[in-house]
Amino acid sequence: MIGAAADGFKSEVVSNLSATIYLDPRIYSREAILKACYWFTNVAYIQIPESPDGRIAIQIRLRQTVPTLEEPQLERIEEFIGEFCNSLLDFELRRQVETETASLKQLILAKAFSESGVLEDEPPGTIADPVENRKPTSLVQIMKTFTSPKE
Amino acid sequence: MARVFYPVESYSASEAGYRLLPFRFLRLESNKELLVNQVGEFVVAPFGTAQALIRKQLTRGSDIYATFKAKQFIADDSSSPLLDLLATKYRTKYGFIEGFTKLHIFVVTLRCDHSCHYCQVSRQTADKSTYDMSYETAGKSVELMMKSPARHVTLEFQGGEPLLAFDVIRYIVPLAKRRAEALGKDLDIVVTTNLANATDDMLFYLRDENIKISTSLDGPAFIHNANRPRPGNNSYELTIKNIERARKILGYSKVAALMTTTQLSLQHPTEIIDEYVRLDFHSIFLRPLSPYGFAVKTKKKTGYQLDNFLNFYRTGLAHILQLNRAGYNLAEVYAKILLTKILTPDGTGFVDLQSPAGAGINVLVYNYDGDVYATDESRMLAEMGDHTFRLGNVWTHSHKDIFTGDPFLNLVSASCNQSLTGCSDCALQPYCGADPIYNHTTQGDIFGHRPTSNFCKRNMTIIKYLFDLISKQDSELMRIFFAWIQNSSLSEVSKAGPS
Amino acid sequence: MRLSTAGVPSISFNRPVVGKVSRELLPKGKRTQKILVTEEVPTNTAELIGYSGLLTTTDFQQQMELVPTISSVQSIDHLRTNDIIAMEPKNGFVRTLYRPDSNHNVIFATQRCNSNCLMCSQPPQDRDDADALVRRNLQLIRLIESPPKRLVITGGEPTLLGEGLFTIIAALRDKFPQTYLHMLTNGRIFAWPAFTARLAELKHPDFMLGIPLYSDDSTVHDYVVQAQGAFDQTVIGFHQLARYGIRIEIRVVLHAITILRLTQLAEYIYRNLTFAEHIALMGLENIGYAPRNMDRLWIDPHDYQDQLESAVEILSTRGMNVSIYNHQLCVLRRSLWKFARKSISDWKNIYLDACQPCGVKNDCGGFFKWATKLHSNHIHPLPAARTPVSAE
Repeated sequence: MIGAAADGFKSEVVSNLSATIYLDPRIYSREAILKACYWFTNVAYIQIPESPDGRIAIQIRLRQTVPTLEEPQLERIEEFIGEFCNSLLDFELRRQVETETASLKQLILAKAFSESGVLEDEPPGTIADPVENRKPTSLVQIMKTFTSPKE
Repeated sequence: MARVFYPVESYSASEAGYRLLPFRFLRLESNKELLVNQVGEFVVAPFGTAQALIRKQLTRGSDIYATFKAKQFIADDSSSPLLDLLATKYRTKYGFIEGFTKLHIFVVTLRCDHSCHYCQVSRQTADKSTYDMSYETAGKSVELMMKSPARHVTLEFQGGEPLLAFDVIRYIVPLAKRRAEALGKDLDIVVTTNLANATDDMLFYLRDENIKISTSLDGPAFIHNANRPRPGNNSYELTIKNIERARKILGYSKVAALMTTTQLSLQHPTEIIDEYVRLDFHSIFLRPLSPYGFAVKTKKKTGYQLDNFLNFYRTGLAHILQLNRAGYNLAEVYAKILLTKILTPDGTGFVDLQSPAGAGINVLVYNYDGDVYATDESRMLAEMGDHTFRLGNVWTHSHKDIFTGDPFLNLVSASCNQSLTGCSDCALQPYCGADPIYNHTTQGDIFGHRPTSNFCKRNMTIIKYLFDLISKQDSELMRIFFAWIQNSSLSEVSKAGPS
Repeated sequence: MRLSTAGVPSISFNRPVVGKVSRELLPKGKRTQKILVTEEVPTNTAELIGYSGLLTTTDFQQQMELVPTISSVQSIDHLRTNDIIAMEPKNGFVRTLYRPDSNHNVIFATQRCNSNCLMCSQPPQDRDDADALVRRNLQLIRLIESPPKRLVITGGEPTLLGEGLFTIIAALRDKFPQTYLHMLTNGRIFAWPAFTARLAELKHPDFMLGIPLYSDDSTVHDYVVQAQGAFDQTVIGFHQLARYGIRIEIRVVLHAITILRLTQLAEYIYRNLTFAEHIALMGLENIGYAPRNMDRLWIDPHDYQDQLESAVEILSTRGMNVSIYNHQLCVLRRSLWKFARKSISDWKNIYLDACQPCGVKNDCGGFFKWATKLHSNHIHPLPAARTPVSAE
């Protein structure tokens, strides 16, 4: 049974316990795919064989073949595919956040653990009122005694 | 020159669009999702919000946009991203690391008169005094303890049953106090004991030296005695009697009780809680059973499934909340730790649920034979032949040797959930922790495998459950939670202060 | 209660005078730094020599070279012996600077301000009054005799005095170390650590800053205070102050704009400004800029009790010290009464006619005197309280 295709995502159910998912690598990053796969390795065997046509193929075989006391309900392969697709999307979004914020995160951590790197930058904007603007007074002198660290 | 008033548009961002600041998200039940920023501040929003946020589809001027900006999930050029503010908050969250090792556990003897099923120590009968810590080893251990840079240290006596080696306690206490005073450190002392052997003299000594007691109370008699057999099978009766004696001599606030959960306990959450109420305790810790020591050997008696524990926890917590609403102050400690991380700017130094993990960094165990371990559980593993987490020995290792040695460094490489697979993307990371020793014991390596990890599943389930409760926006419930967090009573929370 | 009046300055009066009121004639040796305030000027000039100044309601034409005079003063009934007043030569203004029998004395620092809040009760004047006011305030401090329990430094924006401000605070610290000193400021300049460090260096023993924050949304705060970047500076300023160990109170004026995100602001304060010693949630004053912006600002306090209760609940539950200022007990929910304070300064505090029969009038803070023009539609007398108003 061939599953519906969404943006670069196509699924092919092979049996009630196995399926193959085809992903367009232009839409899904390797990172997101691997991370999504990681979270399902408790319920499925997952293989990513070589795919000649440029698509990424993910072969899925559900681990649990018979019901047990602990897990009386067998997961259906269609449910698995649905959850996997959601997870993939989430990890792709997370990758986007990571790309955009990785350097900021480093900066925040560096500031958090440095002895003096916090609250030492020049503050934004100005605090002068119209009078100060017309004729700078002692206020500006006090502010000028502030120097940036590590000059 | 007359001043002019400008409209609100003059103060919003001049350029369209916004930037992302670091955050994570997680789907919750009932079509909601949880978004958590770098310092554990959160937003519970309708499902799809994270995607809209990340794809830059949020409308400026909407309430949710303003909230994300205020909580530092996004920034636009109406204001600077205030990274110093984030850094300060981050530093506050990790304040518990400061001072390094604060909890020092001294195993003064392995001898014990009980044979508790879940015990993580070998049972030795009372006449085998080769299992007591020698005075010389005790002296070396105190020396090592005082090398910790922490200004405030806690010394906890454990065992076996520490009161069976009371002479060792009497040797260590004045020595530790003298050293602490000389170094300008504050020192707290606790003894974990079943109290079965507590004479009046011992209790007077504990009172005079300002030592706190932590004793075991597993529930009503039928649970407590089943869990904790001893000759005469009267552990419960002895415990009750001795709690009263200890309270009389040391004072109520100096006697605490801890429960250990077994398969039998899992059937009776409300009875156990009611027993704590009956005995006028105001704190209870619904702990999961740890997979160490004799629990593994006697798996049949104490093995159980995680789901059963989670049901036990949920039922227990609901019962506790009901008691609180009816006016009895009772805090659940596990929830309190998590709620502190979720609802306040502070972090917590609870060694089993922190990142970096507490092992070594916040706690150290000095065994009766001089061996030094990263946690109490590491010591249990050693009893079973696994010495992976033995960090050294007080006779052969200096403070520096211990903390630069391979066992510690290996341990630390898996101690931060910020860099563990699965954890690094998880929205609950700021609230959760890492436990490399648990991973090693249950899964075979210190990094662990998240999808099959009980540590992960347990914490994710409980944390999500707490968020479910928080999302109800029930102000009485929030007052109860904050009473727990602030160690006060419901009637004291939300009092008006001085003007 | 009146705090200022005016008259005709004499020609030779050309420098401001600060002195202590005397309603009675004084012997020659006791006239230094005293200002004679009288309806009848003694005809013998020898009786006048030695005073720092003369105020009279009469049309006193005599040339007084040695005694600065303001005649035809509109009103002197409010002036009591030992009040400290300032006489201004240019326009004949007479300002009461200090009343020994009042708990509400203020050190007025400057009329300048670098913000322009929509509801400012003391709208700024862009005049360089720094030197003159520093001088005047130092003279004032010299004249105060017995230590007041508390003093408030206000303006305009006091920090614009720069060094002058530190001089004033140092003088107060040295002369009245037991006096609690509170300073109202927008806090923006404290984002600059050099300024904060200078203030901390003064080591005043009992000093706190009252700084407003109007929203967790930077755009809304900047709009209310009419200054781009003010939110950032204020928040960074809070942190610099905390870093230097200076005590902080956060003030929030409640009106239609600030009410909208009041709950979120409470949460913001708790997570970001946990070190604040006190939070004051304040009713709007219908004076200054407020009347002209009232179409954007007015909301009947009765109608925002939900948000107020929620914000107070958030802060007090988390252990923060919160008070409600400038609200009447009849518009506040009963659960909020214990947070309400009698906050309005004596000279501007009134009750309405409707309050006459009210059973809790003694516990209620009443109104600003300009509230006769605008106040809640829900003012009504209450029966006497069965439990004490301030009880839990």
